[in-house]
Amino acid sequence: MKAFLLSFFLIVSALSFVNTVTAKDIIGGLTLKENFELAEQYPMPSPWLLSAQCSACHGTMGTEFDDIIPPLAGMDKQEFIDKMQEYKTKDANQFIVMGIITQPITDKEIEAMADFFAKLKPVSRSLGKVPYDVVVPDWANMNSGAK
Amino acid sequence: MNKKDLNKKKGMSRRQMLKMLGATAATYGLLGASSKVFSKSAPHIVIVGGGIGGAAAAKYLRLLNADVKITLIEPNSQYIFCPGSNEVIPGWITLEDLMVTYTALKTRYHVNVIHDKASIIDYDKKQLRLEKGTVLNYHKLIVSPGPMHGYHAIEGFSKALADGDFPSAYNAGKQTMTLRNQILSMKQGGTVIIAPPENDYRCPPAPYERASFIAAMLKEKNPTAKILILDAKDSFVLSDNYNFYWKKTFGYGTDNSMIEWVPKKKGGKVVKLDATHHAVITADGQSHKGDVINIIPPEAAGLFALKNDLADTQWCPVDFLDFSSMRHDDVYVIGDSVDGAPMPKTGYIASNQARIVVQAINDELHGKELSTPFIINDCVAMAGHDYGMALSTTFRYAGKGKRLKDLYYIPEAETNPAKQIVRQQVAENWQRTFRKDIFE
Ligand SMILES: Cc1cc2nc3c(=O)[nH]c(=O)nc-3n(C[C@H](O)[C@H](O)[C@H](O)COP(=O)(O)OP(=O)(O)OC[C@H]3O[C@@H](n4cnc5c(N)ncnc54)[C@H](O)[C@@H]3O)c2cc1C
Repeated sequence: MKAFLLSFFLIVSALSFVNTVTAKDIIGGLTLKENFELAEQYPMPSPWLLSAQCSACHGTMGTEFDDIIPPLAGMDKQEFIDKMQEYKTKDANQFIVMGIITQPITDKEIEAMADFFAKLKPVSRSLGKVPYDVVVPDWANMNSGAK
Repeated sequence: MNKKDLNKKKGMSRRQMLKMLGATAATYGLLGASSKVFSKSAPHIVIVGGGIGGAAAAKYLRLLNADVKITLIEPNSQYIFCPGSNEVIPGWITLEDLMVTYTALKTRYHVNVIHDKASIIDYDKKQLRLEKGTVLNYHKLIVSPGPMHGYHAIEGFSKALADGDFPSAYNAGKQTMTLRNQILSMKQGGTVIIAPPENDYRCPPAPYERASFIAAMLKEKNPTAKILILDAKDSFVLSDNYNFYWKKTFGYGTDNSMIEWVPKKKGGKVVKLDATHHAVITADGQSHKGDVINIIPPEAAGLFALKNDLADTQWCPVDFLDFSSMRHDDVYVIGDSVDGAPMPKTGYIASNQARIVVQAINDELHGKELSTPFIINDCVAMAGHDYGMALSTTFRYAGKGKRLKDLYYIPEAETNPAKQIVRQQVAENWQRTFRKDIFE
């Protein structure tokens, strides 16, 4: 089973490099430019809130590794930034969300998330059940509201 | 000595004791409470509805704050996820796979779960009355009762009929199983009618995902059967993807197509159910007979929200900075009940709205300025075992009194089979992780 999952994970990684944006995708609402103007105009959402938006797919505060969606907790800061920037600027992995969802996120926000996840207790990136601590006291302190 | 006296002598019977304990505990709002003791002055946050929005709020509030008292009101002892419930219809998974309990919220997150229905809010006294009579004082109240299904908007339809021979199956549960069994036992060459509602309703692609799964099921067991989608809309989300898959798999668009979709402008809108003749009547007066009839009625904010004056017309208006009600103080509304456009009504969004609310409450308790809201929605859907898709949207704050602004991305139909499968696997992976994220 594990071997199967692992090979599956490799397929995902490989596929992400042979991807192109096609004309028939429908993009709407704000333009990217308007999106970044709004981001400039208002204070940045808190690092906790930004990072918590990842929970629904990556597990509570990025602590789950169930099958093909990897954990984020404890990820090296620079590695997180590089990966996110690669998604954002090269449209890598676009067909499974990350290349899309990174587009409207600002560099500053990416860095705040990188900081946040780097401070969490690392989660094994090997496959299998990943445990996590329930109440991490630091989360409350990291939850600094916008100035 | 008779039995009664014996009990007296020995003290209370177990049943009596439990009953009394229950009553006392309920009086003090302690029913289901974990062993953790909260300070008398601890703020009390009460949450109505233990679905996706309410459970996420309870858990994430505890992650941020170890000291507040959290009480969750939910009538059922288990919750069945709607995401994944379409897969139950062809039998790819079971309802049990989608079932979660409140145990982790109670024991791990020290949430006081009361299994009762919230009834009336006294806004002046900041009190919530439950159906069985308990009255709770709250500092803040979070409301996430899900939608109300407007069965009566369709003439001749009712909740009783939906619970009986005409399942809507738009809340995972018994109706989902009825729908499955009806399709399994349908005569060869029979017709399944699916009638999706007008916008807005929970999970916009779900009726079409359902049609795909039923088609896959019929192709195997009942290949001459038909699915007739009578739609109250002229278009639906991810239709490029569904059309592509239906063409490829079910001959969509040909005379032999298993699936036929009739938009509103071509007479698709169902206005009446003729239960006696097992038929639906559309706005143009035409009658369509169906062996299985699945009407998904229009929705509105949950009854609890409507009864307590939290909605203006159909949905509940909120301040998008923190999802506080525009109509009453110290009350927040999240999930399907919110007038949240352009946000669609999804569990993904309900959970992310919950995170905004609990952060806002926690910041306010700590005298901090509120954070700017930000929401991601990656709405995953499937067309089959071998085809998944994701609609991604981000929502940004656009200033006081304004709605959140969306930037959305709907992918075109994916022709590469390897990618189709990866997307499907991602969708399945998401469902599993999401259930844990909210309830474990
Ligand atoms: C077939 C289908 C498929 C779906 N697939 C997806 C998907 O893939 N991804 C996705 O993100 N979303 C999906 N959804 C949508 C998702 O289920 C909803 O958007 C989500 O459940 C909304 O959360 P909520 O908290 O508003 O309501 P719910 O989750 O419905 O919870 C409401 C809770 O409140 C309780 N309640 C009601 N009244 C009271 C009261 N008076 N007192 C106390 N408790 C009360 C109810 O018992 C219930 O437990 C799907 C929906 C359907 C129908």
